[in-house]
Amino acid sequence: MNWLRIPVVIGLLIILSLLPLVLSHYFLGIVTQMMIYAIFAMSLDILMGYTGLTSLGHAAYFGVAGYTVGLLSLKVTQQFGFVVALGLGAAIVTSAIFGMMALRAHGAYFLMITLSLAQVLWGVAFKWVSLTGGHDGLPGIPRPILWIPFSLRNTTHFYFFILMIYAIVTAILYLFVHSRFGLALRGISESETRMETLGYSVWLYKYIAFIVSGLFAGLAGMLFTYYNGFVSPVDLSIVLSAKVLLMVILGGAGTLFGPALGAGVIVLLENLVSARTGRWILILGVIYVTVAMFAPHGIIGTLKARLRRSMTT
Amino acid sequence: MISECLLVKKLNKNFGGLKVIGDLNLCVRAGKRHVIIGPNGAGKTTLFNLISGILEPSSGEIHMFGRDMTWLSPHKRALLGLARTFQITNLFPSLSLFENVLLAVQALDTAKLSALRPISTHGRLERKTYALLEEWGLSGKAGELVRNLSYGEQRQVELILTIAGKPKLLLLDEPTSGLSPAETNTVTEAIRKLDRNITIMLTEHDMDVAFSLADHVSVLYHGSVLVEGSVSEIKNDPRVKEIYLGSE
Repeated sequence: MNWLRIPVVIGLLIILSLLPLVLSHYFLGIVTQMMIYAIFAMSLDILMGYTGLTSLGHAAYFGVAGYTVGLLSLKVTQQFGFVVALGLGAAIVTSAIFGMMALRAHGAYFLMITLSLAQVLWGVAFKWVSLTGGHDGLPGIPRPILWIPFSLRNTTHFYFFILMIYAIVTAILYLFVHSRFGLALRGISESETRMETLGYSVWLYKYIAFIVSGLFAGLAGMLFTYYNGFVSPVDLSIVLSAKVLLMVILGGAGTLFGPALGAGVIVLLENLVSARTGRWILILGVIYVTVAMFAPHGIIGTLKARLRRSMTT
Repeated sequence: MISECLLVKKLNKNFGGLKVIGDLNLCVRAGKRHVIIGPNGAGKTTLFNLISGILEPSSGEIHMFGRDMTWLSPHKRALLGLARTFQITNLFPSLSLFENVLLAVQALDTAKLSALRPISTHGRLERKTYALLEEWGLSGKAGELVRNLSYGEQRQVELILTIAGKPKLLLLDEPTSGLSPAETNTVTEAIRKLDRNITIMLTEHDMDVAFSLADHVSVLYHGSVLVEGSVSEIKNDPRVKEIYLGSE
């Protein structure tokens, strides 16, 4: 199936580039959100699908980078390079500290530690009103000003800005998971003792995967803050952590494109459903139960298994 | 040249109040096939886990290749030339056979840190992987997931993974456990044919296999070495008969 990949990717890129011609600004905004969340979901997939570490606190890095961008843009400077460097730096530092604590545990314990660490940050954002605006968050965050002759305040221009970053991030993560390093991560998710006795420093590999994952989650958080012009404790909340976890599960953990697809489906549903009812979280729960019952390997995972079965028989 | 490859001094391991290894001394000479036998619960697997670093000893010392390795992490021991198999098959079931062996082949190569280049199909390490599979007659199954291989093949993969890194000392924990007589022969022959420069320490339940491979035998009983010697010495030792068959 490898020969199919390149034309599919080129086709997708062409379709995504042509969307502004046919979509209204409202739907273009939704596709922008989809791509940002796709980066977020793919970042979690590095940890969850490839390394076998399920985190329920991934909003921490998304939100920390988001708040860094918001605070810097509103109170210090809007200089893009500086803000981005500090935003990503904040995500790296946070994941480096949290990783050191969480990686002592395995399985459900790892999940609980990541959850509680993220809740600490959520608590800080909620209570430290003078800095973060508390529950009200930080409104009015301006879009970045780049060295290009287009303004990113324009929906279409911002769309292409995100599309470009999305394509680059996908390429980087694709190379990462298919590299020798990525193979080692998959080995670790299958058997840590075997990897250790083969000569791999399992802890270090997991730690690096944790930080890489946090870095790209932070990138998604920054882009989302720019997109929204607003950052609030919701961006650090367990609801967001659970939502991105569901995107990965829905699309299929360990497939990279699956979580991106999962992100697209969830974002679209959320926007369509929220316009009609306030019961979005309930519906999210129903989706989770349905996927867990009928497609435990997610959309792409289930399709791959079907394909493999039909090829062997 | 150091003649002893592995030296274990006064090794102890307690699990809570349970003493599993008690004052164990052991010397494995370079190039030998050293077999550890002993009844169930004698501490064979615990000893292997201590030597490979998966468990930390309560006290005592473990020297390998002339160096104190008592507190070294398992992956550092592996990088210095130690490899092991597991009694309960411990592979990467959802990865292909090729990927399983490649993980072992790249483990001792700095190229394993390459993170932004996809694995090619005919790089240096990949050719080495194919050569190994070819040597073991498994190249036709390179693309299959390891969990779909037969149990006998999986036991062979256990061996391939350990010798892929050209180790100096190989620990084989019951390499033939659960195999049919025919498969046992295949694996035994494979072990016999291994490079004589590799020192091998193995445990085995099947006495025919154990005695046919051994240069030297140590009998483990209640966590320490009861007797050691050549195969004929062990076969005729009254104490060995007693622990295996019971006294009259």
